[in-house]
Amino acid sequence: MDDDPQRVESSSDHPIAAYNAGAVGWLYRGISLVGIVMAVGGVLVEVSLHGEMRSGLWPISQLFGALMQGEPSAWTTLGIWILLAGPGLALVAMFISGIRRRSWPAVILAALVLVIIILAIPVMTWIEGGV
Amino acid sequence: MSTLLLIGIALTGFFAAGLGTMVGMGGGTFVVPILVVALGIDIRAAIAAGAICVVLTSLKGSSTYLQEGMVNMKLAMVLEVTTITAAVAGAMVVIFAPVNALKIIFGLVLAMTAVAMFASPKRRRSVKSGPDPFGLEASYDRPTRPGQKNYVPQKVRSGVGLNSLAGLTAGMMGIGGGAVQVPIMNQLMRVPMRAAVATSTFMVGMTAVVSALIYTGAGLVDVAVTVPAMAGIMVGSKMGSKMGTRVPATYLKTLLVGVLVVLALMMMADGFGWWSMR
Repeated sequence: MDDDPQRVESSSDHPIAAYNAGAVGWLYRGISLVGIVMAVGGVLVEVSLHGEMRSGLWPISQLFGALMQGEPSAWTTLGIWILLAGPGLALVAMFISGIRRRSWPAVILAALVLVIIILAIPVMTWIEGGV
Repeated sequence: MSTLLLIGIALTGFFAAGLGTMVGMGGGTFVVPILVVALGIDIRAAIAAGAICVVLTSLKGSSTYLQEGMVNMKLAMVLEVTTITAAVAGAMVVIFAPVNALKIIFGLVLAMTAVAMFASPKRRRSVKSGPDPFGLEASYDRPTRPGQKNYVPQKVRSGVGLNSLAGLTAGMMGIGGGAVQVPIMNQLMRVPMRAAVATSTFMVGMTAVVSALIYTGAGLVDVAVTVPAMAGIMVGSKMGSKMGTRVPATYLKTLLVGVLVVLALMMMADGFGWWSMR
């Protein structure tokens, strides 16, 4: 499969063109739909039930419990997190696709960008504790 | 937050994305300043909402471009390394800089965007073949006639360096940064306009995620601002792409340049303390 030129799904026929653009496109389509439906749906249910809405996002440590209790604002938070996870998941898909096609420059580039995004999480936690 | 304000936020997203899409820009450039100067929303909450809206519009917009094979994913990854790092720095500025300074910076960037839109340099022709040390050559199916369009991005090192400006702007302002990225790719790197727009749409989502994570950590995300803006932008961008072909682009561009100038002046006046909605 790796050597079949008909299966190259990127916009280029260059050897580095290892990223599976079509699959990433479908992933983006699904994530954006699920994310927006959960975020907007959560707000609508929350406003209709309580007449007001929680302004902040649920902390990740409390999110699961709030979801289990059926808290609509937790669905909104989860919807926003699903949207934010989209580009990271795309990078993981591109990383795996690069490995399967043994295109090491593509793997390194996807990994580098993914690492920078992952590094933003400790920065986020540091700010969460400090600001 | 009152229901009227929530509707106002959703309408801001709707009109900003609708008009922005008609002239090939995202809605973020207009959404954040209108939320601040017209609705009196805190600038940091508006910037955080803007960044999350950029992620949503990037996911939605680039899914089509990806499936059509228009996105040069290799080029995107090469450029993202500096863009995303600069976005982290930009997001830190939002958290630690005084609010008034943010408004002044925002106003200046809006003014520069208006000048760039007004000047709108001619599209540069792409380079079909030549040295390609980074393996970034790409091609896509021409949408208007049969055959493929091949191109080799030029001046990659300069492009990588300059794209950090797009990242910094995106991180500081909660916008996509496409207004900076597309001219760099088309004018400097000689990437065809369609591929530059598609690649930029794909890139802005990744850039915005980093700043959105940092804003989330700082507790800047206000659901009451973010979700109505997201809903408005989703509907507005769909309307804008349908209406785009029916409205003369020249008039629309002139109108939007005017809107940007007014928003820039209001933001700066607010930042200097000469005028405020509140």
